[in-house]
Amino acid sequence: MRRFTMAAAATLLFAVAAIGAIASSAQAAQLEVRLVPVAPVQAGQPTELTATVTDAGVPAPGISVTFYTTETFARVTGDAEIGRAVTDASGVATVTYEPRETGPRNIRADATAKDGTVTKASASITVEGSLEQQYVQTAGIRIPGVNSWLIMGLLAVVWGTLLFIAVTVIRIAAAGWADGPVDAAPAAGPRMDSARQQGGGR
Amino acid sequence: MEAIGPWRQRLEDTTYAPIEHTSKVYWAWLAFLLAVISWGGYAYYVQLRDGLIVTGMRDRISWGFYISNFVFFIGISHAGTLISAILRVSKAGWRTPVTRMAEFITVVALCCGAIFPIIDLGRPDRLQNVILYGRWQSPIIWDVVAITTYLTASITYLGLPMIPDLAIFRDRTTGWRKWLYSVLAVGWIGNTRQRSMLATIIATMMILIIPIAVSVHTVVSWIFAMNLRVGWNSTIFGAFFVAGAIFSGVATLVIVMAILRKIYHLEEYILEKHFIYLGYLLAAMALIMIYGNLSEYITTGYKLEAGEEFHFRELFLGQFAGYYWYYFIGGLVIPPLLILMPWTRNIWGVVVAAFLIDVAMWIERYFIVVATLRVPLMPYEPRNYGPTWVEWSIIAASFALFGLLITIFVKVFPLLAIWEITEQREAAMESPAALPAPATAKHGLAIEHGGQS
Repeated sequence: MRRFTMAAAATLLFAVAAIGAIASSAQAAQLEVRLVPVAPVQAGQPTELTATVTDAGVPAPGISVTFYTTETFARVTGDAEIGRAVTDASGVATVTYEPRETGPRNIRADATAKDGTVTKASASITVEGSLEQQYVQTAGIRIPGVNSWLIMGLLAVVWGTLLFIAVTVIRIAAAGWADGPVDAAPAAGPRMDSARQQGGGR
Repeated sequence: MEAIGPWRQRLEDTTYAPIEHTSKVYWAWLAFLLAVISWGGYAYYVQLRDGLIVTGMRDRISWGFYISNFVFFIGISHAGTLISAILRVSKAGWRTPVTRMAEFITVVALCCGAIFPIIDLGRPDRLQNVILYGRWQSPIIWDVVAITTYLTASITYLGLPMIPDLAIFRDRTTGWRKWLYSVLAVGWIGNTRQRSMLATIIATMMILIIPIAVSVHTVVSWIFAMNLRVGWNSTIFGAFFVAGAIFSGVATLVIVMAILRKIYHLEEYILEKHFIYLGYLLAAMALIMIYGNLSEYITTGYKLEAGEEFHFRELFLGQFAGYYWYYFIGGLVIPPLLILMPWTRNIWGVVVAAFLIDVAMWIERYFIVVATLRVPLMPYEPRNYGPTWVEWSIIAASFALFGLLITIFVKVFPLLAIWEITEQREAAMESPAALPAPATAKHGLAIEHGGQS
């Protein structure tokens, strides 16, 4: 009798555990995430990424959704978080994404259920546009015609002067060749006007 | 006074002697320098292979030996500009025997210094991003542009006054050397048109290079001062850095001059008075540096915000106190005393002062970089920085490279500006009143305008 009771209890425990496991997996499987397809976006332009979360076909509000993209930095590839949002009454979570690189991008949305279960969905978007600098500084004082142009103007003057000197060196060489071969030059060393010593020689 | 002909011949012979004769000691010295550079090359290979983790730099203190050394070398590059351009503009006749060395130190120091930001990058291939994605608003871009421009201008300023001297060498040599000097002398035969054009462009360069040099070290200081960081958030950093650059540049020139004078027997041309005049410059710059220190630290210390207090404690009493007080006493107070006191006002006194100054100025750059980065920006424990063998090796290699380039230079190029010294001599002969006091005069303190003894 006692043996029978123990066997019945074990069977009952097993049955309860099995039913529990089946029930919990069924509950996790009911949460479904779907990334709303996005048309090709322009690099540097903000776009909205939207995920809809349903629980057994019914919109699931209050679910935290984290959006990721795949990035490579210093030869290490991994997930870079774009942002997080919580689903509204319609089960919709939205974040703003401003891609900085062109080409196909993988986007992933992870919905975390109340019990900690994570359900994932992935999609690919295409980022179009040029590879030019995307970041535009808005802070600081801006004086029209100055700022960067002042630096470029100064550089143009300096490098223009250096170019003038390079051209003059070529003219010096031409003046030497015009007066005869170098080997015919006097053995004595050259001598410059002492005016140069007096401060400029102009 | 000796006739100009034999005197000039002796000057040419003295200048040409390093090219004609190569001793075993020279080759041994060259081998030693190459060995040190090779070891530094191996250390850099280790850094490239394993990453910056092999250095003492981490996320909290992300600059160390490399950036300190970069600022130091850019600083000593001011030697050429000051001695050559400023003294030329101010018509200081005594400058002629030292200008060539000063100009060459500029070029060599710039080459040695400019590689350090690349070494500090860890990933040198990322340098292309500065060109591809650089922004004009960034001090990093100002730095790259300023140093590139200064290097180009310095090479030009070194080369132009050398053209007539290279022509002298061309006429004395044969074989590959003749070909080399023929190319570098750009067909110089010294006719009127050539002299006129060369005088014009040298005058243009000597004016142009002064603001370029000042801008370079100002911009280097802005790498720090454009940050909102305790210790760097200063308005006088530009002027302070330029003064420090001239200070260490002249000190380096004194040391190089003393070594080359001894090795190549230039005692007839580089006199005690040259050391003492440069010593006076050092003494004046030391006083300016003391003033800069007082102005900076008293104004900041009077207000003493929380971060500043930590920085001050570290600098004056804590981890960096030994460095700071050596810098202030050993680098700013003792050297001018050595130069100004009559019994140490001689070549050795000035050279010792210059050595103390150079060590102090390297240390100053070190604590400007590291002591500031040690100040925590958020509530975390202050981190320490200690250079590893990789950093020590690369720093040693940079100084060896500096020595190597100078060693090669004196074997290839005229060490003295022959035509300038000759013209100075001739001018002195034409006006005997301007003749200098005898070279053997104690301390050579007779201040003359023109002429070599």
